[in-house]
Amino acid sequence: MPNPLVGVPEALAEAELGESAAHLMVDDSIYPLEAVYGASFTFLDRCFVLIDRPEPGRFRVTLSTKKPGADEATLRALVGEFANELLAQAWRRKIVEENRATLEAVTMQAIGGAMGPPTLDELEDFDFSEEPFEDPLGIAMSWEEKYGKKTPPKGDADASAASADAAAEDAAEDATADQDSDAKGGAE
Amino acid sequence: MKALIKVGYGCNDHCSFCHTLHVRHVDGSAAEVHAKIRRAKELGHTMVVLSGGEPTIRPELFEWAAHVAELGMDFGLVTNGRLLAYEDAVERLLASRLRYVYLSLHGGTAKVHDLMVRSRAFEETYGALANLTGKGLDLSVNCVVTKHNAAHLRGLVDAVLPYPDALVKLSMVEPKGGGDALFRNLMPRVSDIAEKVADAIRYGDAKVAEAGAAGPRFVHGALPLCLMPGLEDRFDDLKTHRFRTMIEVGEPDFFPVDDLNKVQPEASCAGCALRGPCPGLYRGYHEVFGAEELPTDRRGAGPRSNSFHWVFERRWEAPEDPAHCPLRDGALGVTPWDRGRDLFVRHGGKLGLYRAETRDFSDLELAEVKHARGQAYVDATRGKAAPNDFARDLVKLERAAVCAGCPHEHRCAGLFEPRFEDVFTRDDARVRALLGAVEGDVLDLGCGEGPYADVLGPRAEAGALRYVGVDPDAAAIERLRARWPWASLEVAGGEDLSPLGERRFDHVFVLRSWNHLRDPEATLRQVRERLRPGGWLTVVDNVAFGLARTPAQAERAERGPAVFEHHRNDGAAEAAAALEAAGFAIVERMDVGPTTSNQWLLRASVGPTAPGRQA
Repeated sequence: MPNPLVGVPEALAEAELGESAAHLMVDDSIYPLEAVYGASFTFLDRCFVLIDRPEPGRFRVTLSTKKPGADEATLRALVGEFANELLAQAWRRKIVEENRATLEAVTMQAIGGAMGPPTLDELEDFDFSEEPFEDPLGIAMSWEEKYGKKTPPKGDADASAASADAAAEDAAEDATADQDSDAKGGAE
Repeated sequence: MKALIKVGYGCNDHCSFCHTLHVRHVDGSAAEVHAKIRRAKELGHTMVVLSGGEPTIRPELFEWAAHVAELGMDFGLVTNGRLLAYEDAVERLLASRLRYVYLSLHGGTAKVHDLMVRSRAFEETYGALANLTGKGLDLSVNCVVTKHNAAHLRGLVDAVLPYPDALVKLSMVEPKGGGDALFRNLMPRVSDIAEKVADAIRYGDAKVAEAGAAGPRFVHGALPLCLMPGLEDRFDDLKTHRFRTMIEVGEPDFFPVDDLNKVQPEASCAGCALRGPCPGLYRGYHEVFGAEELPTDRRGAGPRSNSFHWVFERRWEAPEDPAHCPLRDGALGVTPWDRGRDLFVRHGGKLGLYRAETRDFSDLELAEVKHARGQAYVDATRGKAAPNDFARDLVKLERAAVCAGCPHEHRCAGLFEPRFEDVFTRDDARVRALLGAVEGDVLDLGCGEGPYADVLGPRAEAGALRYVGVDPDAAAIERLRARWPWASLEVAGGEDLSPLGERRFDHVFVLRSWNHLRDPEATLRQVRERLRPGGWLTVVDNVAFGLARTPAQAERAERGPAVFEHHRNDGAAEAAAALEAAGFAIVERMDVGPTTSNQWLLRASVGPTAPGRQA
């Protein structure tokens, strides 16, 4: 027969003195499951802990003392300790989330420093996660690409020079025409 | 201390004078650039500057900048600036320690600039200036001057006036890449450009003064200094920007920046005091137009330095193993080090790096002093401003034995070790022996402080010789008169010996004053007239030398009272040529070399020798 616990809302916790057990209901919109796990872990030396989900949005935690014959005061103290630990676990988790980037950077630097400089092959495969830069005006593009001029064949310096020069003359005319008419944005 | 890394040669402009016209399709890989950034750090650079082509069109730009900052170095760009028209791009780069921008702007209006770069680029490039100014950057605006924009330089000056923290550089176009391919269309005459650049600089100075502003500052590049009278101190080049090394795409290691694409024609530049900083002419320009626009004789243009210093920078442990070279066999490598400007000294299990930043000497002159003439010393003075007793104060440095036969021997900066021998006293012994045996009428030209009085005085007092000393320094002559009762002393320069009346001599000595003479040819004519038939001329002097110093020693020396007194740094070869041209016959010659002090000697006769008068 469940009994209420003094000072604890009935909807959140109750005791079963014959079973030496207490039940807590945890709102999952306030406490994440990882916090429930963390808080439960700290009771393993004293209690058998059962977590279930009797209804959507709520976890139920049952704490059964390993020593039989727990009185109401003992069960009330267990529920209070669990509630506090649950809050501590949730708060710690939030701090970890906020500092994750810093922690990872420091850790990576420490590991990277110990590993020494990367080889060329390693650098080739390295995933640089630098955020890409927006270039709405299309500035970061080679002149040949922008004006649709052919790239000279590699290794053919003379041909390259001649064709690049011819292309340059053409593009200069294009650019000048752009400026005059403003009909097509050379910069787009 | 900057390292310049060329990341690739692609570009979003297509300048008519593009240096890299023939290789615009070549780009270095991202990994290659990252590896070079690491190498720059390893070599001790404090800033990495990316160039191209145009480095800002590379998507890896921000990663490279972040990498440079992560390694604790500052970041810089040589750029057309177009991407920097984006404020957020500038902000991101500033966060990665962007400290230096060298931006190309070739005209003050869209019409001029866009025609030069053959793109619609002006608004972006000029707009970048507004984003970059006031950010505490070392900010340069470079304008390459060709035939096409030469008449519009004042317009450029007007355009940059709102940016007082900018250094505005007006540079002669280089005949390379597009500048070579379109030589006839682009290449102006250097004298014309010098005139227009000087006009633009003076115009800019006046505008800045009129506005009471702090800047911009206006400088010039790749123009011979003799064509920029009054603006010589405004020269600007990679070295004034403290670039130390650079690396092209595909090169395995860094190389020192150098001026080997330029030439100082001997016919014009021999003896010029400004050869150190002067860019001379581009080789390609000189091949086509020659040096006819330069003055034909710059000798006597002013005094110049006869010494410089390498200042201590870094030290490493170095094994005593005489067969081990810490450059060739270690991580330092051979190619990144300047043959003249970098000095490695190994001693006592340590390797020290000293660096010469002087602009009193050109790169070629520094290399000649250090290697061909072997005139490198450690300044061992303690408790005084500068060495005044070379025999006690200087320790000679010589190439280490491990350098002999090394395949890099004649390209490398070299490994030097101290040689604890008094080479000065040893080499001066011959001079003292000559003076100790001389008889008859003796003229000492430029007797100065009289360093050989202890030899000459007793012989004069014994009547073995009649000594006449002349020097243009009246105070020095006064001091000697008080000390040398046995001497006849006159105030006179070597070019005009008229105070001596009709006196003629059996021996003339020019002791450590040859390089002080303004006009050696005129002096030799005077000497020849005053030497009796069979008479002897002895010339002794020093070549330029360099001292390895601590930063404190270097600072003391630079703050010291010494002034330039030398008009040239001739060695025995140069002086012998002058003597022979004046009709003297050389009979004895002691040259300067890697195992000698910096003192050379020539003995010459005129007319038939008279054995009785020989020393």
